[in-house]
Amino acid sequence: MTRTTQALVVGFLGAVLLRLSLGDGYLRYVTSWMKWPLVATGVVLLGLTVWMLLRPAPAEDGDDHDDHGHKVPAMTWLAIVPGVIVFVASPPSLGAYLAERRADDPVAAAPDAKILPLPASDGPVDVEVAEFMWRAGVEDGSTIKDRDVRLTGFVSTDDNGNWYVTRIAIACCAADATASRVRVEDYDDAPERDSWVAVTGRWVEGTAPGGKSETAIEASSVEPREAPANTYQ
Amino acid sequence: MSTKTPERDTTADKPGFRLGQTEVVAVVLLVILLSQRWLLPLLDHDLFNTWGTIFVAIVVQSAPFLLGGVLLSAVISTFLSEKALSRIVPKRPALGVPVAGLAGIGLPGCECAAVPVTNSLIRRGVTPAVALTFLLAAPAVNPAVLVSTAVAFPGQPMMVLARFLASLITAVGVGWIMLARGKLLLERLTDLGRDEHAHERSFLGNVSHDFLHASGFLVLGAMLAAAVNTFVPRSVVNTVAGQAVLGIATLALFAFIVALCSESDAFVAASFTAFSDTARLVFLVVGPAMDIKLASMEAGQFGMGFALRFVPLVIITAVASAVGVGWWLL
Repeated sequence: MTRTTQALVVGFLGAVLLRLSLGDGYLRYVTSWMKWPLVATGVVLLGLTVWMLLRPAPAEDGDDHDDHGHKVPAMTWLAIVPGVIVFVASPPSLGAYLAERRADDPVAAAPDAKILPLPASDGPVDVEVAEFMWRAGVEDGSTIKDRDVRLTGFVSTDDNGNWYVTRIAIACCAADATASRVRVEDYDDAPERDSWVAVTGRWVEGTAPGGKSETAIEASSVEPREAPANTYQ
Repeated sequence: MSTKTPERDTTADKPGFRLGQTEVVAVVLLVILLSQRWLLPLLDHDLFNTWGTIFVAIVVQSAPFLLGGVLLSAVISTFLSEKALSRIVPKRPALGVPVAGLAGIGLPGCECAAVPVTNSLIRRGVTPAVALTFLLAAPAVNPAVLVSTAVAFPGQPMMVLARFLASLITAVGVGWIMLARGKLLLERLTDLGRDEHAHERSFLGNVSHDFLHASGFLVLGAMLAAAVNTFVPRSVVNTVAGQAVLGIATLALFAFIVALCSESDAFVAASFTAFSDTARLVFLVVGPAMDIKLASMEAGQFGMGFALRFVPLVIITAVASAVGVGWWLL
């Protein structure tokens, strides 16, 4: 790898990180607190590129070795792959495909702290999908029984023609994604897969994670929603 | 596949490019990836996208930590004299090992940051066993990791303590084993002697050198880890949850191949509800000490011969330490 190529490899990676972190693109891959570390990394890498391009060539010893600058491992070529993939394929947020593959995975246990009752309200109460599942599993679902709730998430399906309101949570980056989903009952017109919806309705009694029947909601209305900038929880 | 050959030829014709086996592999990989867009209708689109998302996510998440580690290692290589270092690190390596283990508490980064830092420590004359103890301890015992473990296991403070102790014992244990009978292992540290110019280079020269040396191996590790993440359903792992020994072996292997950040692996471990606490502890102790991404980076920095011996040594020590601590505390 020539010295100029080395500089371009570093610069390309810096430019990709900067492009992702200055828009919303990085939210497809990592959590929102990574924004400023990524901006800083991109800026430092671009600065390093400028320095690498401007630095004087090493003193000539009449040795062929110096034409190539300091040798770097051939593996360094792989450093351009992430940037190529971001520009060519632009992989989207994880969605229905991953959620359906992970549908049979065990879900994390409910938080040990005492689960507070839902706030009193005239209309439906907004509840996160994962929280709704915890509540269904604790104290026979007494905190959500007979309450109007609204769940927001994207649509995933299964082989039996059911559809689900779904969310994916990440703790650090998309590699540790976990999916939670609630089956939507009494609403036959399944919206398009991977589209975002707000489902208003009531918990189907007796359904809970790990129980005889997966957690379900009896829908009274389903409204389309815009996908949020950050699709993860 | 027909696009592969012309691409390789044009690259080989470029002046100044030395064609080696690995270059060919890299170019072939690149051509395959570039042609993916036209191949997509033939392939499972969702599958490739999911792999791509997870692969890019691992690289994006690691890049700031890798750069931070490279900057720190350049500071050590450029500015820290061997005299100053020898004042910080105890003279007797047997004592230096536990000190290096505890020093790991101070570097709240992921494992990608620790590899270049360790490399620069060895370059500046720190006993390899001491520097490698730091490498194993840093990603596992820092406060960020312990806090995330406490959050992932609410009401189980013993899990946090067990993780801290078992990781520290792993790091110090491997350090002492290498001091006692590490001749064979350390002779294999071939690549380190080669870089005699580190001290002559400027600060930025060291930064660019170290970054270029580490980044490719990080990307390779991320590609493999993303493939495992995409293609191996986690429910497969669960089928052996009931068996004590097989459960421990499975989670140790899984920790190695999925290569999660040490800050987030506790959340995944918490979801393995069917496994025993000891098996989950094994997952938490093996992951930060050794995984496919680290093995790739270590093979790049310290040489393949070294990695082939170091990787199994670390995994076996980590499993033994986690089982022991788990049996005692959990």
